[in-house]
Amino acid sequence: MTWRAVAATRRGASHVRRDLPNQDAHRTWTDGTATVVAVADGHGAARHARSDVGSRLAVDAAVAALRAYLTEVEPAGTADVHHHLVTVVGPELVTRWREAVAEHADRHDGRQDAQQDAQQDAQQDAAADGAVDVLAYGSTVLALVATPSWVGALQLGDGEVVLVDRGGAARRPMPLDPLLDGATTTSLCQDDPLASLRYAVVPAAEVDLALVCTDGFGVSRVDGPDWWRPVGEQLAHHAATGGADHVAERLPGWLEEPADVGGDDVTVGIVLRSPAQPDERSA
Amino acid sequence: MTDRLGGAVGRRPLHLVLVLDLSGSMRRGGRIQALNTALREVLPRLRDEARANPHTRLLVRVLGFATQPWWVLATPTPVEELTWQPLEAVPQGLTELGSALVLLADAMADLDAEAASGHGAYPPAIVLVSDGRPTATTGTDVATGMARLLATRAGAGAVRLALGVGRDADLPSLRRFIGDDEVPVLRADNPEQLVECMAWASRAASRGASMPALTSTGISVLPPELTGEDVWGSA
Repeated sequence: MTWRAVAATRRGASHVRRDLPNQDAHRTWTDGTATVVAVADGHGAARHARSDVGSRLAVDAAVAALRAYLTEVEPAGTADVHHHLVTVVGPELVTRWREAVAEHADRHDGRQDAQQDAQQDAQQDAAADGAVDVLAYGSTVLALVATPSWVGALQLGDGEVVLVDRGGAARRPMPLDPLLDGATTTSLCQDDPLASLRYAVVPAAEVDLALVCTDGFGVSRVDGPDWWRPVGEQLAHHAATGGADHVAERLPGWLEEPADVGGDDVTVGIVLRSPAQPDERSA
Repeated sequence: MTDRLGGAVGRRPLHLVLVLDLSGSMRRGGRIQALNTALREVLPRLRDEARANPHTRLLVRVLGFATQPWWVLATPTPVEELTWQPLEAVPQGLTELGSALVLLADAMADLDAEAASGHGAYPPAIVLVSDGRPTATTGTDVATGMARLLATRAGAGAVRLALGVGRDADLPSLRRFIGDDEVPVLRADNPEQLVECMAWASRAASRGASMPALTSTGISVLPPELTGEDVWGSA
């Protein structure tokens, strides 16, 4: 038995109507032993005109930082992992994202992809200062990493992380962030993103399934603040009865209604237990 | 049949609250008539905005204030069902903005309670229109009202916009209400400008509130370029 990652995204109805791109992104990776899934939500306001790029760079940075950690470090236990996520992986993620943003901005300097004059002015001001307009790339990022010994999670910004235990009960492992009020979100593009990164690590034996999602998946829920609980528990039931392939096949369909009714882009990433697979490296 | 994971989904409410100065000075120079005209003309544009955002349910409330504040339209009303009933300014009515903000804060506290019970909405949008310097004869000044408003989660997270009517409008108070230097305070000096300002504010507020961003407002609609004669001037 090993871990398998599945993920899917759907462009929100409001973005379809306004001819905006899907500003969410996702990425999965596995080496057959450890598995990573990351999702990200580029900010929707015009000030963040390159956030679709920012979210892609965010999931790339998250996966790269976790891969590097898995390759280089052998933690002794969950406390050790937590410490490493805070001191190594989080800073590495932020550094990689900022470097990738700088590189992208350098390559695309002057490109007319900003739709608002204010945005263009801001980019020109930033360019005049010799600074990278990081705000244009603003994005959240959420990632799960599952190994035979532990399951870890990182989150910066809104969205949800949900763990389902071996008994089928769902819970949210992340500490609450009072800055997330539905109107604003913390972000990779803020001055001190590490201050808003949240972490959780639990023994793998306690976890049956874990999911991360962008806020678009929950924004239209009308069944109360604990909407994530039946999502996690139903998902675990699907996994138990149909297996990972069944979940992977159904996942895109499960995103349709939240994206069409809620209007925002919707992305979900899942790690779940699965019979051992041939080495799979997916993007 | 819907392929659903988890519970039901639905359109999320977006509350738009119009806070309107109906003090005695609004009777001068046809200001109240211009405000009524502006709101009547803006409603169809708001309906268009709502149709363009079918994932939101745009609900409108109207709070008036003069010597006392009162709810002109207390029930959050779908914009599709709203018809504008002309308002009258209060003769000799003062500009008790602080008291109005306290009443507004109570409504925001109700939204906080709804959110806590799982009936979340987008951050509300509030548009304040005033033509004069606030008074505080009731003992509740603007600072007190703002403190009450910002003590609520919904009030603090709201997209707040403000429009001045004529040169006597107290722009520092309106600026204070907005609380964001990146959001302009608009001042209308004639009826046509008031229509343009109301149209901008309604559109910017409804869009900004439904578009979470790193910054608190997310206002992405450029303000209108106001031209024309200064009809209202100073008192």
